[in-house]
Amino acid sequence: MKRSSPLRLLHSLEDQAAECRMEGRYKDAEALYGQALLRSRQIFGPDMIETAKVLNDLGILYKCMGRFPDARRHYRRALSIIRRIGAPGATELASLYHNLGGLDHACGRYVRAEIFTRRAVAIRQKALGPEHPAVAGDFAALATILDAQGKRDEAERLYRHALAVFVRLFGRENYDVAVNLNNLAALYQANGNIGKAERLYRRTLIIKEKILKSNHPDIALSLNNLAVLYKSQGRLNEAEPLYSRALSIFKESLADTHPHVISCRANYARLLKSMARQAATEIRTRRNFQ
Amino acid sequence: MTEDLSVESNEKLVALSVTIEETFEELEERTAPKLAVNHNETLVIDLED
Repeated sequence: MKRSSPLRLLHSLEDQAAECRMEGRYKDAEALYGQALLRSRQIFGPDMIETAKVLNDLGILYKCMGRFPDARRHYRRALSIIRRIGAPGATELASLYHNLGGLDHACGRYVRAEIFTRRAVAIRQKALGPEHPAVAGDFAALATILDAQGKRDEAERLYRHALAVFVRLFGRENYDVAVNLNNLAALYQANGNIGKAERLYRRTLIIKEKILKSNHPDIALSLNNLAVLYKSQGRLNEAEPLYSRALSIFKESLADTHPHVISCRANYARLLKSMARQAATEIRTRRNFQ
Repeated sequence: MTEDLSVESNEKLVALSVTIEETFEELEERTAPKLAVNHNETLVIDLED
């Protein structure tokens, strides 16, 4: 039997934390990453790539939790380590730019998000070439930022390229594929291409329900989007159960102050208002005919 | 006396070789870690009245 060395313990903590994050158990993940950070500093010291990795992981977790200032603080600390020690590969710097861009995207700072993410694309593409899945990941992130700024043609091109790479390398039932289908669907929805958007949301949900836990917030996100689409079509009764489930999932794993919870709750309130208005109109119409 | 010493030396050698083996295993495990990236996902907001 292998002895449990400090390094193995660190790896085990990181693996468990990543698993918790993927299952949407963010509080458990935070506790495990906290222990991992402590151990990493004990084993390697504060200025090593291993410590930067845990800080970066915590940044990703805090972004998922909607704790954006905490996420930024951890990314910045990781970035300062990488800059100080020089990363073993240029791609580590690219990953931090990618994440800082993603954080700005979540905060609605799209211009700065684009600058960071283009930097990530340039560094990684030079090192790995355009067909590498990590580069496709950068393209996909850039696409969401361009889409948010209304630059939809370039965004669509990048989504399609990233999707093609992910499907070719990982198959159709993959997390990256699901996220990109959701994002492409949102782009079609904004363009008024409702039929295509609905098909892609449905495919997204089939994949997410298959590979994620049924109460994962990423499922709630796509349920919310499909509900918005149904409401825009006047399909209020189809939208209602989707919002109801989405909100209940979000509230289970995210704080009330998380932007997704706030947006989903506001969307649901709008739907309920529309349903009440529709019911009132029906009553008035019936009375007029009596 | 000589025999006892050689047994002790043997045990020390075995213990040392186990430690060296474990250290090599750990060094092999300590490949440069890769930094993970987050995913940007679009959540649509209903702006229709």
